[in-house]
Amino acid sequence: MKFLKNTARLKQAGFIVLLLFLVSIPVFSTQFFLTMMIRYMYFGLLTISFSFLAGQLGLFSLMVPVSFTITAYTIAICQVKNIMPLQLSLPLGFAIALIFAAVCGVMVNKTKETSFLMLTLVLSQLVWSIALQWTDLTNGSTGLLGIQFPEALNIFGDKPNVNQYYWTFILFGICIVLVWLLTRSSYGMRLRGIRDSESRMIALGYNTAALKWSAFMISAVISSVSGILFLYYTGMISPDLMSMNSSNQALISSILGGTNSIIGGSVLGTVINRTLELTLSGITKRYALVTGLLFLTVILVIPDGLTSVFERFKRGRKEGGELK
Amino acid sequence: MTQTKQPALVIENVSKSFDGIKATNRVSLELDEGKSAVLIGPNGAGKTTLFNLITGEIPLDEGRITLFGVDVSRLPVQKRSELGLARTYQICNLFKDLTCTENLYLSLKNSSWGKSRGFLEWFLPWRSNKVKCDRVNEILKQIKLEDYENVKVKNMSHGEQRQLELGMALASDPKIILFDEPMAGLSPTERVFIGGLIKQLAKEKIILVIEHDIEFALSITDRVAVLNHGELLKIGTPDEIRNSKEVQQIYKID
Repeated sequence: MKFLKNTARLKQAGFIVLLLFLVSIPVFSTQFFLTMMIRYMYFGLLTISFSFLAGQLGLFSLMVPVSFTITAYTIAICQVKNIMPLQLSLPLGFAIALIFAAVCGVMVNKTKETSFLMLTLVLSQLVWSIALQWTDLTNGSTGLLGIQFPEALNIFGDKPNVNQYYWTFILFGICIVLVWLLTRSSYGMRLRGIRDSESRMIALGYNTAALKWSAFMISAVISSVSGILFLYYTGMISPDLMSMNSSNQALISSILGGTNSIIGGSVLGTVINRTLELTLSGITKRYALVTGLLFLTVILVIPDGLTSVFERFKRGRKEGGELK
Repeated sequence: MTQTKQPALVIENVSKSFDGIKATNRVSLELDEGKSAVLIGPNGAGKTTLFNLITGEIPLDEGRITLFGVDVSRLPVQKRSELGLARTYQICNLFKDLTCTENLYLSLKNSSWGKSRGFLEWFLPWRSNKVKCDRVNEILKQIKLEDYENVKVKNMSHGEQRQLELGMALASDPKIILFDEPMAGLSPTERVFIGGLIKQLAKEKIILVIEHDIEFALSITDRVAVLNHGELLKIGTPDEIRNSKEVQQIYKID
């Protein structure tokens, strides 16, 4: 039991086992499980892009799916209408989404709390209505279908699903490492400083507007990556992905897991939320009611999210306190 | 290159009104090395407003503020702080969800220990910056909070939070520190400790203190400014202030 008490070594061992498990999934898993894993990853990234702002800056942005959709739409339009090849449409999708986020970032930075929430909602609804109504370009509510995964990227064998899994896994991994590094650096600490007292940060000489803007951009980049993964896996994009429901799913997953733990909370929240959605929708039409009840229970009983339970357990061990 | 010595802080005819009420009315004051001051006055005299005007947290209506020869009247808060101005708050304004160490770490920004590692700051763990961490530990010892390094501010007592406020002012290593009622709500023991630290600081830095405890205030410096109804009533030595009829009048208990 001595080994179990060495938390650092236990963590390392756990991490290696998890990594090996994730890499070997395509070898033994069923098609269904592989699909679920890919879904967890791209929706997980969307939740992380929400949690990054919520956890580090205390800002609840309802426009996280905007960069997701803009990138996906740009690539889809370029491909469907044969405007340009992937090598160009991919950077273009990113660029348009980030330029839009940069402009929005300047605007929303001037607001706080409720007004921030409202402004991000308005901006996301604006893009949603463009996607819905500019039918010549976006094909309206049907969306754009039949987007093919680029053949050039089939480097992990012949099975398209396996290739998609590994690409999703690689990009998901890069984003997670990036967020992990950012949150434990002094940059992350500065963001948390703004969350706690922006006036004090300004008095200490920090350019808080620039810091907030940069965090907004990081969130947009993660959301864009998520959009690309979604587009190539599902082969379609529609305005639904930017509806209120889409923002709500990110919000629910984030709060279920706990906004304080950006990576763990987001992944856990997304896995629970998306699994419930899938399994319950096969049993009852009112699956949203069950998710809603679970959400309500978590908010009332453990407002800091499910990961806070692990945190409490860890703290109890560290302080040598008895766990009851 | 020779430079004409400019006074550290010059406040000239500064005014500020809120809804037509003059909170600060044509106040002029000068601070320099060896010329620290205590600001006293009844509640609502405009002391904190004057602090906010100096730091730039609220814009001034009229007048001019110069920091080391630079006109800062229209400069934002962070620019003034870069010139070497720091303050503490009447109601503790700390990062409640961060630890004691993190609060001090963030406060090193404008000090000589706060040198940024550029873009690397984004990705390297903050604990890897040994220079900053060592400096934080030094300050923790100085303010006697070394056992609290990993304690979140929200779990600390009021007195400990006041100690940290002081530590944050120390960490930014400013030339001028504005203390806004640093002794408010402290126990007698805490008063002795914090009072001692402020007295020590007054020897090294230029300070301006708002304090209701006149005896303590007078023990820090021999320059006292009295504010009343937003106007600077009198500025002088403790004896001059004690003997002033006008000052006695405003502090008189009916």
